[in-house]
Amino acid sequence: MAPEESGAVARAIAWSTAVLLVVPMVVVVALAVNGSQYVQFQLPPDDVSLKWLREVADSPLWRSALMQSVKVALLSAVLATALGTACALGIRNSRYAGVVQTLMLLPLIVPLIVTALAIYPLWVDLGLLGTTAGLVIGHTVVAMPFAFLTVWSSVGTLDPQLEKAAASLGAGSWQVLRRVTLPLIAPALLASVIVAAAMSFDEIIVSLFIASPQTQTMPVVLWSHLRENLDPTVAAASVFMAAMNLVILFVGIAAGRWAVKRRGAAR
Amino acid sequence: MAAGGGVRPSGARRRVRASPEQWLTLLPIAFLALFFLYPFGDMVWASVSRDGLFAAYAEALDDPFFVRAVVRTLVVSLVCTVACLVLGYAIAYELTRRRTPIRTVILGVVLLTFWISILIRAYSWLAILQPGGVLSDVAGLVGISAESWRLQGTTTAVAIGMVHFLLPYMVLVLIPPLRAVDPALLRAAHSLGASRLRTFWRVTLPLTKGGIVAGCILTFILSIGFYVMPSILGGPANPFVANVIGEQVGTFQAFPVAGAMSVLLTVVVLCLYATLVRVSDPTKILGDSGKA
Repeated sequence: MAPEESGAVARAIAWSTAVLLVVPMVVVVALAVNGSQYVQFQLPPDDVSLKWLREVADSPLWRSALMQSVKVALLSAVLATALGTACALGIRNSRYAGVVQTLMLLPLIVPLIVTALAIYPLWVDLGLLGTTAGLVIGHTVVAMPFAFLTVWSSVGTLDPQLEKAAASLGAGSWQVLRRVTLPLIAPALLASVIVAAAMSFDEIIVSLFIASPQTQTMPVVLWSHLRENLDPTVAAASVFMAAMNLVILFVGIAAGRWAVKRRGAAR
Repeated sequence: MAAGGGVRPSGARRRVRASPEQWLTLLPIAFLALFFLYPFGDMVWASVSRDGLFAAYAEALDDPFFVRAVVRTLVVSLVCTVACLVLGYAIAYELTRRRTPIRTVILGVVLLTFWISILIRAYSWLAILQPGGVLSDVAGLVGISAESWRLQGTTTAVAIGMVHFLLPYMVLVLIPPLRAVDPALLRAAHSLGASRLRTFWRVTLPLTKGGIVAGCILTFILSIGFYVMPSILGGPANPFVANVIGEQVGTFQAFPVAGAMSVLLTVVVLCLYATLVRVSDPTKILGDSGKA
């Protein structure tokens, strides 16, 4: 046996853990398509029905929460990416890079409950509490570190010669930024939007503090249902949310493919 | 401040003039200063000064409920970190061997888990572990009576949910260092007569020590801030620090005390983060663990 192959113990642990990771997802789907009135698990389910999924899809509450989630995720993803990119581009070559980097990562390091608690009084003072704008700003704070990290890793691979060449050919600094730098890191910008959107879409703790019943996102509605009743609509809503997670993931994978292809074509 | 203009130490070789993108840096800094640093500082100030200097801290530390939550949080986080290390190392090890279809599936499972919202995972474990839930149904199918199993509402349930959440992070942090281990070293150890276990113990493990430390610190940092899992799986009797903070605000409107608890939690997290920075580049670790 080659020494670089894994042993039986490692393999057994790895595979059984992978199964345990999947089981809960399977359970949620099984509960969501269960035709009975109660949360019931049967394999195979003796009454498969899409009625719970349909009920969620038809419910104005869930629909508006989903729309709100998508809206907040898109807005805060774009905002977080713009700010994260500005920071990543600005601090390369800067001697303050280390300090600013730590600053940018703070919202990621500090527990979300602390962030939520800290911003709550300010949101009250600024009239942001319960507004969509307030949610977008709060989610941007949470998502910006991820946007920054994504762009930062790509900024490190930028060839400074290209920008110098453009400048020496007479391009002004704005022109260099717009025509050379940003196109070069475009794939990272896209990845950043996707990562930030995913963060916002899943965000629950800050949203619990600052969303109102009119502006609540999908996770907030799911949370309140989870605490009150365990009827199968919760499972059905979870399936919808997981589907959204997967949509974001696949958009991300497709974007990654596109970036690789583009890089190949540029060569 | 990062605009880079102003004075440079004499002898600086490059011409110093802030480029427009350096000015742009002020935007995100201003944004964070207004919407994160200022409210955070305000919270710290309120926790220190309200009702007498450090009165809120004294109150927090005198609260046995809080102290028990701190101990519970630390113990469960430690257990979860160790569990994640063992399981995550096995998975990452398996994933960095020769690529086979089944390993691709496992990698897919890890990434999929990573992308599914924490709320959904908490709910699914609730549905599995609650009395009369999936676990007892399945146990009943094979003829085991699960009546006496009390998992939901215990720290065990919280730990299960937490490991489910944290494991992908650990795996993704451990994969790059494991991939960097030169197979020639393993073959050399093998040809010199070392058993597989000895090779692992004396070659692979020491070579991936940095990744292990980084993965454990990251997992622990994430663990001690947990709110969702304890709230849904642990029930009211087993709150974590984050839940006690939430309750102080939600139920008692005690902002200074909640602020004091938050500051204490943040200090611990920042100390751990400082350690993480010492052992590795945080932008690499966090970048890997970001949903990238």
